Amino acid sequence: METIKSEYLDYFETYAARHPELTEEDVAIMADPWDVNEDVLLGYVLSLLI
Amino acid sequence: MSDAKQLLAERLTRIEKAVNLEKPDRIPIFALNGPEVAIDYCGRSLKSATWNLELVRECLPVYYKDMKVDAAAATFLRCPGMYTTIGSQNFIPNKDGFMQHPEVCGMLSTEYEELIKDPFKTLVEKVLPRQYKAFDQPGALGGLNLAKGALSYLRHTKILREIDQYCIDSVEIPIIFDNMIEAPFDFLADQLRSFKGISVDMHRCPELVEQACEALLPLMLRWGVTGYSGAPKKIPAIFMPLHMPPFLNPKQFERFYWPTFERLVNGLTGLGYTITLFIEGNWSKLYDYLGCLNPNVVGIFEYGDMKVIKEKVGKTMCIMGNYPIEALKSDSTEQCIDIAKKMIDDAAPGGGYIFTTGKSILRGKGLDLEKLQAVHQYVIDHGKY
Repeated sequence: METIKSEYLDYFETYAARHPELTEEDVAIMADPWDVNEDVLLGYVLSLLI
Repeated sequence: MSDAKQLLAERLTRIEKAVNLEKPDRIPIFALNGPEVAIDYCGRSLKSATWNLELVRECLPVYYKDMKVDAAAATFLRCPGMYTTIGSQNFIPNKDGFMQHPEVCGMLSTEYEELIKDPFKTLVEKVLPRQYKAFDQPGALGGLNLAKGALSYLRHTKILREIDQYCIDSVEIPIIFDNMIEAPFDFLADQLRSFKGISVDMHRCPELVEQACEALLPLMLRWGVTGYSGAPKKIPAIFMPLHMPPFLNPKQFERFYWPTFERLVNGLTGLGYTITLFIEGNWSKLYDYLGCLNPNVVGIFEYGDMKVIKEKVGKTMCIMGNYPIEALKSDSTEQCIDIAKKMIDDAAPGGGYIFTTGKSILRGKGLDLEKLQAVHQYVIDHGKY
């Protein structure tokens, strides 16, 4: 699967990098739902331009 | 198995065999149309239907059944409600509700570097606010409108998929296309730079055009996968309309279009998907390229000599399309059938062929759909292997 680098789509990754106090467990809990939303957002934005 | 389930299974097998370049029991017939023609055919108002999708649910199965088709595409209808509320500049309804797509430019030539660096951010921050004025609002309002638009899109898409399921259940029509994507160059040309803009860019900043296509490729690959319903399957296929190649010379095609298009198609077929290309315009100078694509590609041809197409790409690609819908307007029923007969003689031998029109039938007005019924009946009666 392609990984898309973007400040928008990698929002959580960027956020986590700025907050070293977050544990790996925090990251795992928060990353999953964001992954779902990421694809919805990608699909919506691209569908408006096709 | 009930008669209805048996019929659905027969139709699906017919299509699958053709896609696999085999000979089915007879030539399958595909309905290449939007829901608008079904609304016209049933004598309902398109303007009403675009605001009330129940009318689409009512009319599509009637159209598919009366036209005697074996399969159809996923229902796709741009509704004014979705577009006008977010201030769309790129899709605008005409008087009777049909959506028009004017020439638009969503990205300036000075913004290539930004697009290449972070394409998704540039689409959200630069392109969308130009094409959709509701997103170009100060403070949180633009973001809120984006969220509202996304919610509306999700609800709209859900209803369209329910209509697909209704067509499967009520008239046993398999839906053989799923999601839709674009080639990176087409995506860049269509609504980012515009036809005029991209034509100039290929001369003024060719390296940036190449890099922009490379930057957009991962988005299209990912959208192809995440927009598809479930795990990769042969049927339904991912639909990809191809726009710009007839307007490019061979050198431009090879430099700007082909590299990312080929990787997109071969990447997705490599994952187990089938790709259906809608090959718009005249591609006769480009058949050799199409013949190089990996298997599991279906080509709907708008124009061309079916015999040549079969020879050039038929070894690896299931072919369909090419029936001229203009004939339904001006020719007699016998002449319409004669065209179909020649097309079958040229394209059907050996299998790997699906009968359909060269253009998507958008509206019913001006076309004699009884002639299309007669043509389809001819294919049913004389298209047996």
